[in-house]
Amino acid sequence: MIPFLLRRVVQSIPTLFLASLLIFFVIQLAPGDFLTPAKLNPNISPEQIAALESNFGLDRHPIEQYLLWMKNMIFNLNFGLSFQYQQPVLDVAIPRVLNSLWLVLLNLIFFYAIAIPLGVFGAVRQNSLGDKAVNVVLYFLLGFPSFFLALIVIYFILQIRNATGWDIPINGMTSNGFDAMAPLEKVWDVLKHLLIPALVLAISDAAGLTRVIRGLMLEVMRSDYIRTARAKGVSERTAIWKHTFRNAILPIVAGIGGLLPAAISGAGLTEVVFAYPGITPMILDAINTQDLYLIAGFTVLGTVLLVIGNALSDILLAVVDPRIKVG
Amino acid sequence: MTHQGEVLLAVNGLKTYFSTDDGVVKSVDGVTFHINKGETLAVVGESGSGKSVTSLSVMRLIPTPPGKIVEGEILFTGKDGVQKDIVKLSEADMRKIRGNDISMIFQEPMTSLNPVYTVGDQIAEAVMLHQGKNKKDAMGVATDMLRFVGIPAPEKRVNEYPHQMSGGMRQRVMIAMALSCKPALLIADEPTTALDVTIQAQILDLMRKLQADVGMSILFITHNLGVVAEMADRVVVMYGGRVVEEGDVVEIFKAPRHPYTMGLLNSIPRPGEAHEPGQPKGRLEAIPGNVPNPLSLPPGCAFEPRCKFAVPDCSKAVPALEDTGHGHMSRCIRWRDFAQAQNEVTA
Repeated sequence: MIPFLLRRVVQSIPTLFLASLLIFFVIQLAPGDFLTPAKLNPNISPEQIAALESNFGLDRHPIEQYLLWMKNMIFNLNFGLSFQYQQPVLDVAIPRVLNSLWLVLLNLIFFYAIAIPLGVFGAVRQNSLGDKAVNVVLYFLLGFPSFFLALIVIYFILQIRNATGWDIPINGMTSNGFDAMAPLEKVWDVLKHLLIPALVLAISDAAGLTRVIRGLMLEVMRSDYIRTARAKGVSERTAIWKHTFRNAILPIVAGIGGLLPAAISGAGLTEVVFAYPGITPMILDAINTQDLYLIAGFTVLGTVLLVIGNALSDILLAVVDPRIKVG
Repeated sequence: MTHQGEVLLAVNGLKTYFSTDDGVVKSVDGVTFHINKGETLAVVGESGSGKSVTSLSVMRLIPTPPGKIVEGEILFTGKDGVQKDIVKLSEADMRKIRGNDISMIFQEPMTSLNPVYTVGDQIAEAVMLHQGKNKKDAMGVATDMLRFVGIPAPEKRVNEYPHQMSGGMRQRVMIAMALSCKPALLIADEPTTALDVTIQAQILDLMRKLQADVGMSILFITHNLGVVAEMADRVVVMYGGRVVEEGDVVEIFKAPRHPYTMGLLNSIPRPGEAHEPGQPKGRLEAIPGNVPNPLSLPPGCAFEPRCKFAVPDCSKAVPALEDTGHGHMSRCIRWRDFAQAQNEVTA
């Protein structure tokens, strides 16, 4: 295990180096920079622009900028300064990432809680009326963008709210007067706000995983060792969960490391639609304003987590599949 | 060794059909046979003759849908001494029989064991299920069973996974699993087909030895007549979902009464005959043609299109299974001609 981890660390160095190069220079490829709007503003004098440029380091050669950025990251864990917020990138991004993390975690719980039972059901009752009905809904969801589904849900919840007066939050992360609440009340308040966006995203994402689980289950159900298990006289439940499901999820366990970077990258457009203070709106904004180090720092963070996540996947797969050895 | 007359399993008029998009496949179409206690019955036939579907019907493991037992009865006397009709049993009662009274081993030892559990766990599962033992005792039984089937160092092997074993070892594990609850009937569906020849002989020896120890009956499904000669007391020959010949193993080999059985016997290589010095290399006789499409069986005898003894009457109606003497049955309208020809040769 220790040699495996050491080898993984060494292997990740060229990966991360290449990734950082790509990240930095792809952002540079876009025409203009953070100061372009200022340069177009006749009220800002060229002297002011020049002062800002030297302040931000934008007057130096891109390669020099890159090397400085790398040096600061490696030796000081300093991801640079956000132009827009005038604060270190991590200080700006981490509170937003944490907001997103709660949403993503709740979303993942719903995601698996929907996809696993539905996928197993579809395989066990293959081609039944129930399976066909589930399939129709899933195909519909697969072809339906989650942000649009969110808009429809918001519309109906507003109708419900108007009709019943229930307080179903569909916007933001906290209610008014959040700061005055007791700690437990705060948790409950945030949970209420998370519920609808997490559920909408889970329902629309779960369609894909449900199909995958159904397919994997069907494949394993046809294998010889399931017939062996039945010939032993095991119950239907044991045959499905202990023998079939345990083998069917192996490829899913292999992909679980991808959840680590996904956990910090936020819930995408769902955050925008629900006006949720997650990381996605901030990054979209940073891309618009060409806030170089905020985008680059966030992307590097995601890449590091991806590398860690992949190593974690390999370890997990070796734990659940005795045929695979870590090494 | 055989307890004459004590019938363990009686299959009467079994029909197992599969409904497909192209029509109903009559995989097993009115099969009748029985197995006595302690006896080995071989079911012989080409791929598609219905022999595996017959065995899966006895276990009630036909995938439903598309398959279904539509008619017939399967009378089985379990270890409790009570005769039951397997076709009519509830699923819960059937589970108590599977692995306990009737066990099964399969053709493919490489894929018949679950890759994510140790072989000990997989044997112990049946023991815990049917004998109510706790995990620790069941693992003890598993170790004993591995020793019983001749696996060296069973204390170590019991904690190994299937991928750490060879095909022959895995088939021994399958046998250990099947015998762990001392079943009255072992169904062996081509258990040696996927193994190489030396391992085949070992597995067959093992099965004979264990049969003597446990006293069970064996339903042996195979297309290999060499194996039949070695293992079986009686033989059922199947073709196109029906029994075409049934009888004592010596009778079947010495005096076959159905052209299909004769064809099968002629396609076995015999040392000495095949290659005599100075003679051109003898060719094995093959049965011409292929197994008929199960969706459109010929109206008469299913073997008629491939039969070199066929006469116009053969395609008129499905011949009846007739007793040719001493319980030797044949589904051929010309069996008397074969008997006569044979008498002339021996006379």
